[in-house]
Amino acid sequence: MRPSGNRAAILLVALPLAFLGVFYFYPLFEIFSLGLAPGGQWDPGAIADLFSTGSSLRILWFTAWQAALSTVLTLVLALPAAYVFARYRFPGKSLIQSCTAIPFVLPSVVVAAAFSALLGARGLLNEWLMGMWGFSSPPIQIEQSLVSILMAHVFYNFTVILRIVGNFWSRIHPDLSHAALVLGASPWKAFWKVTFPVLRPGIMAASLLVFIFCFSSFGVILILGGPRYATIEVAIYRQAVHLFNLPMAAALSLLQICFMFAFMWVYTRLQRSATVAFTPESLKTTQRDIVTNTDRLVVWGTVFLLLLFLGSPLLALVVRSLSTGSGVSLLYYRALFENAGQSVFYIPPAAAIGYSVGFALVTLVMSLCIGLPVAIFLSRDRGLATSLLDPLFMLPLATSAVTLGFGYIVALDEPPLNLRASLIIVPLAHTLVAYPFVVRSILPGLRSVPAHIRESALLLGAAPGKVWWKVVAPMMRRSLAVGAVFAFTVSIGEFGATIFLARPEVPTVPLAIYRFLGLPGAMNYGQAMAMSTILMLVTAAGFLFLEKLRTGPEGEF
Amino acid sequence: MAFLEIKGIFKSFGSTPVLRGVSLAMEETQILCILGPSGSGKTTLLRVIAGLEHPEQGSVLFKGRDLRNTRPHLRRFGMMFQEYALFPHLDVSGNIAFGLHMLGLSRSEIAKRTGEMLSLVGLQGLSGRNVSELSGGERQRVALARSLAPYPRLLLLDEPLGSLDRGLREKLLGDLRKILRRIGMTTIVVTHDQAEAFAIADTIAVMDQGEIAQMDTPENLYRQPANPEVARFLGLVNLVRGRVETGSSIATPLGLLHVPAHGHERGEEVTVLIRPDAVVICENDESGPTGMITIEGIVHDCLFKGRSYHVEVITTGSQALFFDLPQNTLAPSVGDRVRLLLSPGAITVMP
Repeated sequence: MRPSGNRAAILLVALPLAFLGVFYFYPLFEIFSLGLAPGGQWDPGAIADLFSTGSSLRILWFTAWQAALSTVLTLVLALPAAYVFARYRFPGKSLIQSCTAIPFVLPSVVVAAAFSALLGARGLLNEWLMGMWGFSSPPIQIEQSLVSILMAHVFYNFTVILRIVGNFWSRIHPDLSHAALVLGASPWKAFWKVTFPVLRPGIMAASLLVFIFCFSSFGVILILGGPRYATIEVAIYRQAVHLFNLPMAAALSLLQICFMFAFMWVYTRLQRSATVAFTPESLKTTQRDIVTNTDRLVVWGTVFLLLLFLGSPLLALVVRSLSTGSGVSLLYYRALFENAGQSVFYIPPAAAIGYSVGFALVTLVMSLCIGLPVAIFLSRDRGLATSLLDPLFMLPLATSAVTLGFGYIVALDEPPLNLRASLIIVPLAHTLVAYPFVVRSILPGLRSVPAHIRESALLLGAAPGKVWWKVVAPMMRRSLAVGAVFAFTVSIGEFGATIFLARPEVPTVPLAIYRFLGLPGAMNYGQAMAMSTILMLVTAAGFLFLEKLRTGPEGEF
Repeated sequence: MAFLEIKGIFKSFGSTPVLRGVSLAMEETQILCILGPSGSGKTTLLRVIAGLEHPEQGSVLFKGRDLRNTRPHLRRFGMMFQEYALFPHLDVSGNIAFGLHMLGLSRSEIAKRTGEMLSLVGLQGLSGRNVSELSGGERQRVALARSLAPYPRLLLLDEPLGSLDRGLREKLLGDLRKILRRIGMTTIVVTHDQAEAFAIADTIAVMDQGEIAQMDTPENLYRQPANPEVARFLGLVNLVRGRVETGSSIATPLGLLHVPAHGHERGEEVTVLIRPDAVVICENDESGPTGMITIEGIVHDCLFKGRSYHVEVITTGSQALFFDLPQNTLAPSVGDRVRLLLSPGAITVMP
């Protein structure tokens, strides 16, 4: 590499590095110093408290075992579906597979609202049971219980197992288990002795990912779990916002950061091991059409159960948002746009939609400004610099949104960077969450521009800058669009950081839903349902648009 | 009672029939080769025998016992799959020992048998090797050793040399034949390559569109193909339509050919097969020895192939015929008018 090229490359990542330094490492550093030296002096008292009081250990224990249980449940339910998707070709398969991923991209408040709409005390099922069988109180009482947390986690992460394990499975030749059968293994033994060991790296990687998501779950626990349950994330929020115990919140954040980094490190290693060991087969040889009645039963039965489980909460949400005391109407939707006076908001909820869109647009622009130079830098192998900066730029992915939001309120509240009162603090946090996705969306596209195309443009007389502009950029339009939609969708549904940072008079849609859900009365509940429906439609539309645009058969998780 | 008997197997995938009434029988220690173009149903037949596919009709009898309700893992048939299907999570000896573990043998018995198998296929040094590090030929040997290890009663080989390159195939083909003969293994081999089938089989069953077109020894098959499809599949392309005139002459576009037409009625439409070898070019106008058939034509193309010349002749009846002439004869030039002498043995009459 010529020195001038190096200098240009350094210029390229200067802005993103500065951004990362000020808005990621500085807040992180402040959390560390608050946790370890609250008064400016070394005093790990808060850390000591963490391990001496039973309550913190209980929180850690609950965080771990609910995540483990959620992972096992997701695995048990998603593995059969992964098998069906790996082994069969059937009409509508890719659309169905795309739809199963919708829950994964929904904001946690929407998922919470959807489960409430289906199974809550005011939910469809209870309403129906009470009307049908004359129960005087709701017969299904799973609100604010572990059951609803687990169901929401399975609902969320089903697609992770389905995609990763399903994709892995579809690359394994079915003759492998046939060979085991012919060698005298019963079907059960063939699964345990051959299929499972070969699948294991994929299962481990996917399970760990689900575990990480559930371990750092915030919105679902906060809304569906109620006051009885707290993960580390929820505890950070309560310590910081309800109890104003900032050193304790910092100590908990430290704990969370350490766990998340450790998990991410293990995950990266696992992912590497998942890519060796066997030569992938083409889907033509591993998948078969539906032929017999058994095939039909297996495939369509699975698809039916899948759509029932993943679709019914979302459908309930829509139904609930439309059914008012006086039949089906758009009453709740209309109420969003007028200030009825009974609302605790002194601004109509429609304003929240406006703020959310505004924040999302600013996030979109900033994420592209940060993400594009990073992607261009990482697209070429620059030796040591690439191998150091690649994981560095991806670090925000391994940091929970709650930690980030907390870090912002402790770090960015004094000069020279006093942003607490500024509106920009929300899109700044969103950008930090979103830009790694932008990088990951653009990078494959950039890398796929073959070197010989660039070289032939050079030989045809185009200067390097011109080559970029005339050749590479047009080929990149698709991945730029993917990155932009990604950033927008991430921002509009973001909850964990926003709940710390948004000012009460400038709420986003997820915050407004959260507040409505906590208020009594059919009108508030109905408006929560209506806003959730809108947010769900926007997110799902964004996601399906992404699915359509995506070039490769699978994204990079 | 036959060792293995297959009776009237029908199998279809959806609305596509794959096997349409296949029946055959074989004896112990025999090597049967099922030969057919791709899509002829031969692999499906093998999988039906192994129990991996269930036929809609018909039965597989092993020593007279119907295997309808015997599941694949209880049949004790060895099978080698097209891409070998080696277990990627086990090393070479782990792969070979898999079936032995399933038999519930003791650790020492398994180690002994695994060692025997490794030396049988000539891979003694590779027992601890990861299967992803093996070459194509080594993989084939491991797959063979794995399927032979648990003392199978019948061995099924699906395109055993299919994915290997040409030079390696000939060597491994020889080894495979020697190994199977040495241990007297009853074997069914599926292949699309007639040279492979001729080299390995006692008996060849030619499959075409889900049916067995002909089953015979390699020699008989080559000398007397049952129908034009079989002939074409064996690489015999000089097929001429004709009509039986008398018991010993057939009218064709090449003229009246004097060959015995046993078993064919006068006036019957037949196909005459002219073998590409057993032909001599007549240099001058001398008439050949009596009993020889002469064909006249113009040389359209002449290709030197090392051991022979491959010559295309357009006959007076504007029929294209292909012949292999020994390389020590004088090669004809393109455009030459030639007379070819055929012995009656070079001609076969088929329905």
